[in-house]
Amino acid sequence: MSSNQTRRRLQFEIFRYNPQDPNSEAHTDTFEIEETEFMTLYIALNKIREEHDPGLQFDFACRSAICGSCAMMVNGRPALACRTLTTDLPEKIQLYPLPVFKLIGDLSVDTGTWFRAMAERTEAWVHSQIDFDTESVEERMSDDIAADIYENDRCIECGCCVAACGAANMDDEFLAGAGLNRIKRFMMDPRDTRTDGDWFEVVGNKDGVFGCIGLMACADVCPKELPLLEVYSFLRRKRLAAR
Amino acid sequence: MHKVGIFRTGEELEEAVAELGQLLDDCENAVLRCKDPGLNPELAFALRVKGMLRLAMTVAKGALARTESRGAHFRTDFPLRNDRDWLNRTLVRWAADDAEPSFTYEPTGLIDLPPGYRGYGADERIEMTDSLEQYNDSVVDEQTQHGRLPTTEEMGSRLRRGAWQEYAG
Repeated sequence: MSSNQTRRRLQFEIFRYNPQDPNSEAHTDTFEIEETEFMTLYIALNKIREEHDPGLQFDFACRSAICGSCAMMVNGRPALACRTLTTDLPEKIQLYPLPVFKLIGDLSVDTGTWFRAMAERTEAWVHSQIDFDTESVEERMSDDIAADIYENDRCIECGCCVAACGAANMDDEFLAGAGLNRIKRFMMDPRDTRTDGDWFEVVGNKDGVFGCIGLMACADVCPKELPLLEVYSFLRRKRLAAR
Repeated sequence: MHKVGIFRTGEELEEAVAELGQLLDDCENAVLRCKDPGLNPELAFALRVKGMLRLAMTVAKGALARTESRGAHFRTDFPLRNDRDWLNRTLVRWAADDAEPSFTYEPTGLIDLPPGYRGYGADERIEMTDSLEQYNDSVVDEQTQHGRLPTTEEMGSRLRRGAWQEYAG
């Protein structure tokens, strides 16, 4: 966008509600700002906060798609605000908070409680009966397995897959893309001694892999492009084999 | 990134110090536009901004005082590293009710070799004029003045003073 071109005026329609204010009613506010070069939604939101409404609530920390705080519904699709360029969007931009999660205010939601519960239910830590010996040499893992595990470990817990998930929107208990991805990560880990039978208890039910209604929206919206299709088919295969 | 950025000059650093001083004065009179109950992003920022400005001020003042270039601190008006006058570490203290931060400088510690070429950038600098012995003696004097007791392993060096000479033969 060169300076002699006329810059677009962007219209943001933003969901507003402050649950801590008894006088607050859910509504949308419209703000207009001028588009600048390489503008992301994160930059636009800060500009709105500076120029129009200092009380606008939204979350961010890293502005480089690694902290997972700034996920929101952008024109109906979950996305990270810091990773979405306004040039990829029309002039009218609707911003809503992610569904499923508890609303903190405006665009800010509490993903932490959901992810904590998911981690506890999937027992997302390495289960091992071996006592940890500080003196002994670390056990080695092959590069291939380490790389495969890392592929699933790249999840930043932004919650986009949960918000996009048809099953998670209907059923609070459903583990959704992030949960199933977490399970696969620990299933592949050679240090984790949980058996197929143990895993069946976690994943072989309506809240696990059989609750998935196969829309695969999680894979479409994942900002980190995690292989969620692969996760789903891996877990289905594992479950069928376990029976 | 302007005025206290990658390439610094005394003139711009002075401007930065003046502007930051003005901002520090201004932030005493900061008022909130948003008075919503609950989480208030403007309030969170207002609570932090004074500390951010004070930190920026210490950086700007420290950079202005250090009339040399060293590591990431590059001054176009003093492009050379100056081991004669600036082989020291900047210490800043800023008590809550003080208007200004106070700057002191401590020696980098005992050295076994005079600082030389670092393996990158230009191989040009203002050499220290003290001999190694003189420099180390001054360090010990200064440290003793500040109450440091003699120890078996001297600060700033993994070896006792002059030990390298035995290995060098």
